[in-house]
Amino acid sequence: MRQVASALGYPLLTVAAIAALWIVATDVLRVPSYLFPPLPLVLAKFGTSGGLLLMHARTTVGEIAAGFALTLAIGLPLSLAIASWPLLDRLVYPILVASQTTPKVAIAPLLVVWMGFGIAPKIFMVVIVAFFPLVISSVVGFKSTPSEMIRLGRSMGLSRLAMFTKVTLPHALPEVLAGVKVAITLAVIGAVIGEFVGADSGLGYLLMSALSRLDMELMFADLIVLILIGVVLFGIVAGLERILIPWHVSVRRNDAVSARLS
Amino acid sequence: MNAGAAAPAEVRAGDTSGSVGCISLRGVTQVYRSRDGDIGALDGIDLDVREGEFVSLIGPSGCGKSTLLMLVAGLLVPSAGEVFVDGSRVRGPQTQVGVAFQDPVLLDWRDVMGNVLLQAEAHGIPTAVARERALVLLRQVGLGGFERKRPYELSGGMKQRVAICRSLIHDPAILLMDEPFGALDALTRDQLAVDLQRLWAGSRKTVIFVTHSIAEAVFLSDRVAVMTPRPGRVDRLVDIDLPRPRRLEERDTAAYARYSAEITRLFKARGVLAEGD
Repeated sequence: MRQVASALGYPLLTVAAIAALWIVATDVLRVPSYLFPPLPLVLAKFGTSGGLLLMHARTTVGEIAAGFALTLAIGLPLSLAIASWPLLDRLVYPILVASQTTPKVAIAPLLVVWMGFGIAPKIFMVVIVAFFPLVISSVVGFKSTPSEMIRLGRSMGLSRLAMFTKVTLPHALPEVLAGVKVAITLAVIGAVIGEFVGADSGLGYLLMSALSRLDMELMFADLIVLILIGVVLFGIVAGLERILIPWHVSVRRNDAVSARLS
Repeated sequence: MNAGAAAPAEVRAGDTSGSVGCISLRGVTQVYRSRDGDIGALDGIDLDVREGEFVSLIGPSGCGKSTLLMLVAGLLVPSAGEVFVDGSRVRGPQTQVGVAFQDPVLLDWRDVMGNVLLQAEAHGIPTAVARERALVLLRQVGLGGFERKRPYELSGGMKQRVAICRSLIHDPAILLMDEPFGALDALTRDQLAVDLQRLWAGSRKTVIFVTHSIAEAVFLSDRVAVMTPRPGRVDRLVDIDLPRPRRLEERDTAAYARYSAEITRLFKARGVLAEGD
């Protein structure tokens, strides 16, 4: 519990410092409100437009959840297949890498043409941006089982399935989760891009509509909600890491650091 | 899975066929193909290890000691010649034997008990039985009470002890050890040698033990197979006729020194060791 408190406490100190700086800077420097609204006004917006923000946040979170579930459902089996079959590795992997040079934002308008203004193009956009880091990282994870472990398994006569569940998969988990971590933050970006191009709800849509009315307080409030969504999603994955790979050096080091700090 | 046992024992090797825990190598040659041409690792090895015997393989780096062990374990296929375990020709991984590798290869995501049980799971031994056995083994190697520790909490010597317990959990008649103490400090090595002797005395398994240490080989073995530089052949089989249990301080006595000197002379004759005289 103390570890959790210190893990949350220190970043919160930084947030408080930024908030203080915001309040002082907009006040002392007399920054016009239409350029950079003072924090109290933005916070007040949560009171007056809280319901609106919540409603649009629900849409965006739904798109992220659906898109990310789809990313995992396609990405993880594909990663395993690429790592297992050299032919597929040679056929698909270079194309996957090459596809990354496409500016994915530029595909968003196309998706609207093909899929309309509903939820489908947003989900698709999430998949497009989150897919690559997940697959790249997972392929590395599934491929990197040390040859000594494979030899050990063979010497014991582990079945293929047992080899996978007892050795390959747990060994790959840290890499897979590292990919999930990157992918989940990109998923938020994907959903917002999708909403920018054509939508009638969602935080991205709300942001654009606030922009057209130059409602800077609402834009900042919207932004803060987006950041919060990203942070919470990232936190969920980090929590998963603690449950799934408590043995891994990345998680252990956190333990050691927070133990020293507490 | 167990190709060695499944295959009919169509070829009988020597007079040791049939008994549990015997190993025979007949003209075993191993050649590794590389871009710069073929590299001969082993050249016509003939070796018989009797049931319950402790045999050390000693030789210079690259003489194929580890290769020989992997051939017996069925993890490599010889380029020529035949390997027999319990009278049956080796045609695949010999899962009934126990193998301890140079590196302990513990799984980070399992605790000490879990790592030992991995072998039991592979053999379908009921968990309750295996757990009981694992506790006994861990106590025997001085790791009682460490069952829940993770590998990263253990020293190098402790990790190797866990690996040895894992190689024994299915009660194999044969134990193959590939320089398991190679990466350890001298004191830990001595302790593990003593522990290994006690374990062996209690169970009388057949052991093939690969080592670089003449003292270790003499201390532990019934026979020492001294190997030539690459491609490896068995230069001489030295019978170590010393009473057991052997004690560490006895290594400085004349009886031990005679064997050590004999092996050292064999290495000097082959140019493995040179003193410029």
